[in-house]
Amino acid sequence: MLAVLAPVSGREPAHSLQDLTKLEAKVEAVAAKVTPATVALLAEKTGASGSGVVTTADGLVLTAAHVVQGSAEVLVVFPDGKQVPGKVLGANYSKDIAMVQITAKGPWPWVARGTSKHLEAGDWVIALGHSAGFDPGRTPPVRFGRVISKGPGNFLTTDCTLIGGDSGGPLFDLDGKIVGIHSNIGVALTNNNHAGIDGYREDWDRLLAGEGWGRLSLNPFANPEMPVLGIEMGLARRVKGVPVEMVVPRSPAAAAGVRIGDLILALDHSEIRNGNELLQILAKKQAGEVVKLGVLRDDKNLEFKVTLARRDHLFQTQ
Amino acid sequence: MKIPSQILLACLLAGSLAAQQQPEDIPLLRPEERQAVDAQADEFNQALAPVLTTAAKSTVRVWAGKRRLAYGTVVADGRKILTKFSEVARAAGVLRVEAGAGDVRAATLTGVYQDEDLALLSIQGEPLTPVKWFAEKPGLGAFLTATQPGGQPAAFGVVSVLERDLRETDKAYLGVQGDLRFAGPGVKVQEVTAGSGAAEAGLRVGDVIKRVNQRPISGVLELRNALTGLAPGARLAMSVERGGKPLALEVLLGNRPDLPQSSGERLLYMEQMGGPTSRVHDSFSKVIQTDMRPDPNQIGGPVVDLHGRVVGITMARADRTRSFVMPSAAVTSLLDRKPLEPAQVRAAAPVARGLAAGERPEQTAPQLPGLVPANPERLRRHVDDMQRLLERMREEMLQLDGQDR
Repeated sequence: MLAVLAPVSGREPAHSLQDLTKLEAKVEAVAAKVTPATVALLAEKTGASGSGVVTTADGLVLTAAHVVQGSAEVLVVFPDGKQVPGKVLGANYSKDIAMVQITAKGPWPWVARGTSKHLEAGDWVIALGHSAGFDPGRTPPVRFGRVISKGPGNFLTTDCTLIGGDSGGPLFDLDGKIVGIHSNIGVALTNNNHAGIDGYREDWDRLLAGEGWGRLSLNPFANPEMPVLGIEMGLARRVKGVPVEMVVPRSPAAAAGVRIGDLILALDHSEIRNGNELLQILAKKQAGEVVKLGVLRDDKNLEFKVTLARRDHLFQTQ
Repeated sequence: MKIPSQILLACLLAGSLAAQQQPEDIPLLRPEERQAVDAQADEFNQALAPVLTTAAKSTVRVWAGKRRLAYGTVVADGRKILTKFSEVARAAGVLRVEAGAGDVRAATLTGVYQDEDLALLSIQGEPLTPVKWFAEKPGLGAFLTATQPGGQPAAFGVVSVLERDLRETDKAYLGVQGDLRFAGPGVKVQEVTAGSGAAEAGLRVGDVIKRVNQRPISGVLELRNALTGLAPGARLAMSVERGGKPLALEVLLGNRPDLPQSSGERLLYMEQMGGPTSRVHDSFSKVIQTDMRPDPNQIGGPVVDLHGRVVGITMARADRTRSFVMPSAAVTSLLDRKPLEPAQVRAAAPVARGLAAGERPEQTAPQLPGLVPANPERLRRHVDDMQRLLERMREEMLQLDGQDR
């Protein structure tokens, strides 16, 4: 059985008009608080115009990797038009996250970072960004919506509509903490993708040090940071499940005790009917997460706890 | 103007990469996620229902033949409907207004507010319930709901940007081009437009603008921000540096010459991503920007706050991220003005149709037989008309392009 998402206790309800009034008050408070820290980033060299958000009083700006690609310096523009120089620090293209340091003296308006890992379909979020480029006659437009889908990896999809120029702009939770950075869009109005803020945590020092790495890919399955079990999937049989054809030595699957010939039937609370479904559910997880793998072996149902690894780390010797 | 006919289904928002994926599809959307968000949307709409009941009584549908053109708002004595002019104007067939189940009235176009793309229809029969306006403006992030005549929400959104004037022509013009290579702080004058306020005040190439009305100016964008909200005729106190010495100037701001803005093909394409947009969508003088997503044929109806008070009407669906709402105070002051007779508007239309695709209006309106602009107000309106027609042509070309696929 597929598990229906149970309402998370911390999520703001929307059952009554009273709930909506409370929700509105939070959105208004967040909009007022975060607008001054939502900046536009103009790259003179490449002509690119994106957005970003200041997250420290001394002017550390978070943005998307593709906004600063090819630039060493950018112009950081505050909503009132105040423009200051910024130095591009590091970028992880696989996660589409980057850092810029304002080189002028602060203090600057800033917003604290929250966490993105717990975000699930239905969680309320607020997006700001300098849509269609910086416009001196307008503050960065506020958009309100919710998480529609989790993944791939630390990305998340919301129905806060984005357009060119919003890239690198911030996504906030109802407490006004940064939970994501705008990355890309699909055709559907509900297909707006953001890099989860947690992605910065493990890369923080490398980004600060100015390192650039990774590969930008809109195909989640081609992402080098895609989490994997370390098995090869066998051909589909006429039954539900995914047969294990090979187990990569020293992989998470091997460490957990998964063997060739096992039939994978479930991952956490989701039933696995075929290989596509296994890949899709894995893509929504992150490397380092522990998942419960339900398998059938010799007519017995077994459960293994597997710590997912990044695909690009799978064949690295420890 | 060639629009790429190949549809790129996923766009990075500022980069140059794009990949293909299924339309209307979120690759990793799980059935349980869809169920969760759908259930939440139902719940949300149910919670909204009580705030829509009053305004819904003043919301109508406007039809021409079998086509629904727009929504409308019942105004004045209950026999007038305010609706979107460009949607009504291009309709063929008899206009009808549907007020509720089975209540359909014949309607005639009796007045036009061309500047704001609004029309007044007169209906026959018993009066309907006129809308009760609430003049206070909603704040940034406030919840807005557009009503359907039946009491359901047509669209929900928040205030994305507070009220502003979208018309370039209404904005004050300084007449200075800044040197983009100048590191600042301040704006180094690279060019002064002849005849502009800056030229008349004696500003020269090489001057560095340091302050405007006491506000320190870091660069070109801050200077433009400082001019925002100022009308032509306003005076500016300007501190400049000339040859290393400070100098105070007073500038009388003039009008901005008409410059049709091209948003670039990439952005143009992204604007189309996510559904149809209104033909006339960016020439309003007083609008709130919202992230509501009404269909173009749902424009013209009332918008309420969470108390059910009518704070404005929907004016246009502009693109993926933007819709515009005219606040109640602006609507009521517009309604105090005498509208144009429909015949006056129709007389102007064939003249403007002579423009070829890609042709731009001149900076001053061309002198046309029988339609000599008598004053700046009419001249501006005329240029606006042509911009709208160009906009419409652009849309039609896009549609034609889409049919080729």
